Amino acid sequence: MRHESADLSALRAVSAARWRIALSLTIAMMVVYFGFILLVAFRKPLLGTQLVPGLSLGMALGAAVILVAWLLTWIYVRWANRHYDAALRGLRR
Amino acid sequence: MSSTVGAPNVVAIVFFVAFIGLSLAITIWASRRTRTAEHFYTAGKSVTAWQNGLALAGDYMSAASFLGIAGLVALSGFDGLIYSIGFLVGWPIVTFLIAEPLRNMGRFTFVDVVALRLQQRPIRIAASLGSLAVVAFYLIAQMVGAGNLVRLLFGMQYELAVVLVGLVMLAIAVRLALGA
Repeated sequence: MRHESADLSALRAVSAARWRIALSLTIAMMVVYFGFILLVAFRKPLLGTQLVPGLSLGMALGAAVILVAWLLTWIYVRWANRHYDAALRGLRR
Repeated sequence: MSSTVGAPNVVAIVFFVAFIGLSLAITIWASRRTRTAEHFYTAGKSVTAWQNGLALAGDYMSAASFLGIAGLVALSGFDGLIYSIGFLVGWPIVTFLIAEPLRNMGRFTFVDVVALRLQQRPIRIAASLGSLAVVAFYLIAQMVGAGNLVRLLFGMQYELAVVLVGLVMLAIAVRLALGA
Protein backbone atom coordinates (compact mmCIF):
# COMPACT_ATOMS: atom_id res chain seq x y z
CA MET A 1 0.00 0.00 0.00
CA ARG A 2 2.80 2.33 1.01
CA HIS A 3 4.65 1.48 -2.20
CA GLU A 4 1.64 2.21 -4.43
CA SER A 5 0.96 5.65 -2.97
CA ALA A 6 4.62 6.60 -3.50
CA ASP A 7 4.25 5.66 -7.17
CA LEU A 8 1.03 7.60 -7.39
CA SER A 9 2.53 10.77 -5.98
CA ALA A 10 5.50 10.39 -8.34
CA LEU A 11 3.06 10.12 -11.23
CA ARG A 12 1.25 13.23 -9.98
CA ALA A 13 4.54 15.10 -9.83
CA VAL A 14 5.39 14.12 -13.42
CA SER A 15 1.94 15.17 -14.59
CA ALA A 16 2.18 18.50 -12.74
CA ALA A 17 5.60 19.13 -14.27
CA ARG A 18 4.22 18.49 -17.76
CA TRP A 19 1.36 20.92 -17.23
CA ARG A 20 3.76 23.52 -15.86
CA ILE A 21 5.99 23.25 -18.93
CA ALA A 22 3.07 23.10 -21.37
CA LEU A 23 1.32 26.12 -19.86
CA SER A 24 4.51 28.24 -19.63
CA LEU A 25 5.36 27.49 -23.27
CA THR A 26 1.77 28.23 -24.32
CA ILE A 27 1.81 31.54 -22.45
CA ALA A 28 5.19 32.42 -23.99
CA MET A 29 3.84 31.70 -27.47
CA MET A 30 0.67 33.76 -26.81
CA VAL A 31 2.64 36.72 -25.44
CA VAL A 32 4.98 36.74 -28.44
CA TYR A 33 2.20 36.37 -31.00
CA PHE A 34 -0.31 38.79 -29.50
CA GLY A 35 2.51 41.22 -28.71
CA PHE A 36 3.32 41.20 -32.43
CA ILE A 37 -0.35 41.59 -33.42
CA LEU A 38 -0.84 44.45 -30.95
CA LEU A 39 2.23 46.19 -32.40
CA VAL A 40 0.74 45.72 -35.87
CA ALA A 41 -2.54 47.20 -34.65
CA PHE A 42 -1.28 50.15 -32.63
CA ARG A 43 2.33 50.90 -33.65
CA LYS A 44 2.17 50.77 -37.43
CA PRO A 45 4.73 53.54 -38.11
CA LEU A 46 7.23 51.86 -35.78
CA LEU A 47 6.91 48.54 -37.64
CA GLY A 48 7.23 50.41 -40.92
CA THR A 49 10.75 51.55 -40.04
CA GLN A 50 13.20 50.12 -42.51
CA LEU A 51 15.99 48.18 -40.82
CA VAL A 52 17.84 47.93 -44.11
CA PRO A 53 16.29 49.20 -47.34
CA GLY A 54 13.54 46.73 -48.31
CA LEU A 55 13.29 45.04 -44.90
CA SER A 56 10.91 46.66 -42.43
CA LEU A 57 10.96 46.01 -38.70
CA GLY A 58 7.51 44.42 -39.07
CA MET A 59 8.73 41.80 -41.55
CA ALA A 60 11.73 40.98 -39.37
CA LEU A 61 9.56 40.62 -36.24
CA GLY A 62 7.06 38.48 -38.16
CA ALA A 63 9.86 36.11 -39.16
CA ALA A 64 11.06 36.20 -35.55
CA VAL A 65 7.61 35.07 -34.33
CA ILE A 66 7.85 32.03 -36.63
CA LEU A 67 11.34 31.30 -35.34
CA VAL A 68 10.09 31.57 -31.74
CA ALA A 69 7.33 29.04 -32.57
CA TRP A 70 10.02 26.60 -33.77
CA LEU A 71 12.22 27.35 -30.77
CA LEU A 72 9.44 26.71 -28.25
CA THR A 73 8.50 23.45 -30.00
CA TRP A 74 12.15 22.41 -29.90
CA ILE A 75 12.33 23.18 -26.17
CA TYR A 76 9.20 21.10 -25.54
CA VAL A 77 10.38 18.15 -27.63
CA ARG A 78 13.79 18.16 -25.96
CA TRP A 79 12.22 18.29 -22.51
CA ALA A 80 9.75 15.52 -23.37
CA ASN A 81 12.48 13.25 -24.75
CA ARG A 82 14.97 13.85 -21.97
CA HIS A 83 12.85 14.15 -18.85
CA TYR A 84 9.18 13.34 -19.39
CA ASP A 85 9.47 10.07 -21.32
CA ALA A 86 12.36 8.97 -19.12
CA ALA A 87 10.34 9.63 -15.97
CA LEU A 88 7.36 7.71 -17.39
CA ARG A 89 9.56 4.77 -18.34
CA GLY A 90 10.90 4.80 -14.79
CA LEU A 91 7.36 4.69 -13.39
CA ARG A 92 6.24 1.88 -15.71
CA ARG A 93 8.97 -0.61 -14.88
CA MET B 1 1.18 40.83 -76.67
CA SER B 2 -1.37 38.30 -75.54
CA SER B 3 -1.40 36.35 -72.28
CA THR B 4 -1.70 32.55 -72.34
CA VAL B 5 -3.28 32.51 -68.87
CA GLY B 6 -6.74 30.97 -69.07
CA ALA B 7 -6.10 29.14 -72.32
CA PRO B 8 -5.98 25.33 -72.11
CA ASN B 9 -2.40 24.16 -71.69
CA VAL B 10 -1.64 20.51 -72.56
CA VAL B 11 1.38 20.13 -70.28
CA ALA B 12 -0.48 21.63 -67.31
CA ILE B 13 -3.49 19.37 -67.93
CA VAL B 14 -1.33 16.24 -68.18
CA PHE B 15 0.37 17.07 -64.88
CA PHE B 16 -2.94 17.88 -63.24
CA VAL B 17 -4.55 14.59 -64.30
CA ALA B 18 -1.42 12.62 -63.38
CA PHE B 19 -1.38 14.22 -59.92
CA ILE B 20 -5.07 13.47 -59.30
CA GLY B 21 -4.57 9.90 -60.55
CA LEU B 22 -1.60 9.41 -58.23
CA SER B 23 -3.56 10.80 -55.24
CA LEU B 24 -6.45 8.41 -55.96
CA ALA B 25 -4.10 5.46 -56.41
CA ILE B 26 -2.40 6.17 -53.07
CA THR B 27 -5.80 6.58 -51.40
CA ILE B 28 -7.04 3.23 -52.74
CA TRP B 29 -3.81 1.50 -51.79
CA ALA B 30 -3.91 2.99 -48.28
CA SER B 31 -7.58 2.21 -47.70
CA ARG B 32 -6.96 -1.47 -48.54
CA ARG B 33 -4.45 -1.60 -45.69
CA THR B 34 -6.74 0.12 -43.21
CA ARG B 35 -8.49 -2.29 -40.86
CA THR B 36 -9.12 -0.52 -37.53
CA ALA B 37 -9.55 3.00 -36.21
CA GLU B 38 -5.95 2.88 -35.08
CA HIS B 39 -4.92 2.06 -38.65
CA PHE B 40 -7.13 4.80 -40.02
CA TYR B 41 -5.80 7.61 -37.86
CA THR B 42 -2.21 6.60 -37.15
CA ALA B 43 -1.42 3.79 -39.62
CA GLY B 44 -1.19 1.37 -36.70
CA LYS B 45 1.40 3.56 -34.94
CA SER B 46 3.91 2.75 -37.69
CA VAL B 47 4.34 6.37 -38.79
CA THR B 48 7.75 7.81 -37.98
CA ALA B 49 8.15 11.33 -36.66
CA TRP B 50 9.67 12.35 -39.99
CA GLN B 51 6.71 10.97 -42.01
CA ASN B 52 4.25 12.59 -39.63
CA GLY B 53 6.08 15.90 -40.00
CA LEU B 54 5.77 15.64 -43.80
CA ALA B 55 2.04 14.90 -43.46
CA LEU B 56 1.55 17.93 -41.21
CA ALA B 57 3.52 20.08 -43.65
CA GLY B 58 1.25 18.80 -46.42
CA ASP B 59 -1.80 19.89 -44.42
CA TYR B 60 -0.24 23.26 -43.80
CA MET B 61 0.54 23.92 -47.47
CA SER B 62 -3.07 24.01 -48.58
CA ALA B 63 -4.86 26.22 -51.05
CA ALA B 64 -5.28 28.69 -48.18
CA SER B 65 -1.50 29.05 -47.88
CA PHE B 66 -0.63 29.15 -51.55
CA LEU B 67 -3.55 30.99 -53.11
CA GLY B 68 -4.86 32.80 -50.02
CA ILE B 69 -1.59 34.32 -48.84
CA ALA B 70 -0.47 35.09 -52.39
CA GLY B 71 -3.82 36.80 -52.99
CA LEU B 72 -3.61 38.75 -49.73
CA VAL B 73 -0.12 39.97 -50.60
CA ALA B 74 -1.31 40.93 -54.07
CA LEU B 75 -4.25 42.88 -52.62
CA SER B 76 -2.75 44.49 -49.53
CA GLY B 77 1.02 44.23 -49.90
CA PHE B 78 3.26 42.42 -47.45
CA ASP B 79 0.71 43.04 -44.67
CA GLY B 80 -0.96 39.90 -46.02
CA LEU B 81 1.91 37.81 -44.68
CA ILE B 82 0.62 38.36 -41.12
CA TYR B 83 -1.98 35.63 -41.73
CA SER B 84 0.67 33.00 -42.34
CA ILE B 85 2.13 33.74 -38.89
CA GLY B 86 -1.23 33.12 -37.23
CA PHE B 87 -1.53 29.70 -38.89
CA LEU B 88 1.83 28.61 -37.61
CA VAL B 89 1.47 29.87 -34.04
CA GLY B 90 -1.51 27.59 -33.41
CA TRP B 91 0.53 24.45 -34.00
CA PRO B 92 2.97 24.58 -31.08
CA ILE B 93 0.04 25.36 -28.77
CA VAL B 94 -1.81 22.26 -30.00
CA THR B 95 1.38 20.28 -29.38
CA PHE B 96 1.79 21.63 -25.84
CA LEU B 97 -1.80 21.37 -24.65
CA ILE B 98 -3.62 18.65 -26.62
CA ALA B 99 -1.18 16.18 -28.18
CA GLU B 100 0.01 14.40 -25.05
CA PRO B 101 -3.39 13.98 -23.29
CA LEU B 102 -4.84 12.73 -26.59
CA ARG B 103 -2.12 10.12 -26.93
CA ASN B 104 -2.39 9.06 -23.29
CA MET B 105 -6.11 8.44 -23.63
CA GLY B 106 -5.60 6.36 -26.77
CA ARG B 107 -8.17 8.44 -28.61
CA PHE B 108 -7.69 10.12 -31.96
CA THR B 109 -10.09 13.04 -32.11
CA PHE B 110 -10.98 15.79 -29.72
CA VAL B 111 -14.62 14.61 -29.70
CA ASP B 112 -13.57 11.11 -28.61
CA VAL B 113 -11.83 12.63 -25.60
CA VAL B 114 -14.75 14.84 -24.60
CA ALA B 115 -17.22 11.98 -25.14
CA LEU B 116 -15.17 9.86 -22.76
CA ARG B 117 -16.34 11.92 -19.79
CA LEU B 118 -19.71 13.18 -20.98
CA GLN B 119 -22.89 11.72 -22.44
CA GLN B 120 -22.04 10.32 -25.86
CA ARG B 121 -25.02 11.27 -27.98
CA PRO B 122 -25.53 15.00 -27.25
CA ILE B 123 -21.80 15.75 -27.19
CA ARG B 124 -21.26 14.00 -30.53
CA ILE B 125 -24.19 15.84 -32.10
CA ALA B 126 -22.91 19.19 -30.82
CA ALA B 127 -19.38 18.44 -31.99
CA SER B 128 -20.60 17.30 -35.42
CA LEU B 129 -22.59 20.51 -35.88
CA GLY B 130 -19.57 22.58 -34.88
CA SER B 131 -17.28 20.66 -37.24
CA LEU B 132 -19.72 20.89 -40.13
CA ALA B 133 -20.17 24.65 -39.63
CA VAL B 134 -16.40 25.21 -39.67
CA VAL B 135 -15.78 22.78 -42.52
CA ALA B 136 -18.51 24.37 -44.66
CA PHE B 137 -16.77 27.74 -44.60
CA TYR B 138 -13.36 26.17 -45.07
CA LEU B 139 -14.69 24.09 -47.96
CA ILE B 140 -16.18 27.14 -49.70
CA ALA B 141 -12.78 28.86 -49.71
CA GLN B 142 -11.05 25.70 -50.93
CA MET B 143 -13.62 25.10 -53.67
CA VAL B 144 -13.39 28.68 -54.91
CA GLY B 145 -9.60 28.37 -55.03
CA ALA B 146 -9.61 24.96 -56.71
CA GLY B 147 -12.42 25.97 -59.09
CA ASN B 148 -10.51 29.03 -60.25
CA LEU B 149 -7.36 26.97 -60.69
CA VAL B 150 -9.13 24.37 -62.83
CA ARG B 151 -10.87 27.11 -64.81
CA LEU B 152 -7.48 28.67 -65.63
CA LEU B 153 -5.88 25.31 -66.42
CA PHE B 154 -8.60 23.91 -68.66
CA GLY B 155 -10.18 27.14 -69.84
CA MET B 156 -13.57 25.79 -68.82
CA GLN B 157 -16.53 27.52 -67.22
CA TYR B 158 -16.14 28.38 -63.52
CA GLU B 159 -19.33 26.59 -62.42
CA LEU B 160 -18.34 23.44 -64.30
CA ALA B 161 -14.86 23.60 -62.75
CA VAL B 162 -16.29 23.78 -59.21
CA VAL B 163 -18.60 20.80 -59.85
CA LEU B 164 -15.71 18.81 -61.32
CA VAL B 165 -13.45 19.52 -58.35
CA GLY B 166 -16.29 18.60 -55.99
CA LEU B 167 -16.78 15.25 -57.76
CA VAL B 168 -13.06 14.42 -57.54
CA MET B 169 -13.02 15.29 -53.82
CA LEU B 170 -16.11 13.15 -53.26
CA ALA B 171 -14.58 10.24 -55.14
CA ILE B 172 -11.53 10.30 -52.87
CA ALA B 173 -13.60 10.74 -49.68
CA VAL B 174 -16.08 7.98 -50.57
CA ARG B 175 -13.27 5.60 -51.49
CA LEU B 176 -11.63 6.31 -48.12
CA ALA B 177 -14.86 5.86 -46.17
CA LEU B 178 -15.71 2.59 -47.93
CA GLY B 179 -12.19 1.30 -47.44
CA ALA B 180 -12.30 2.02 -43.73
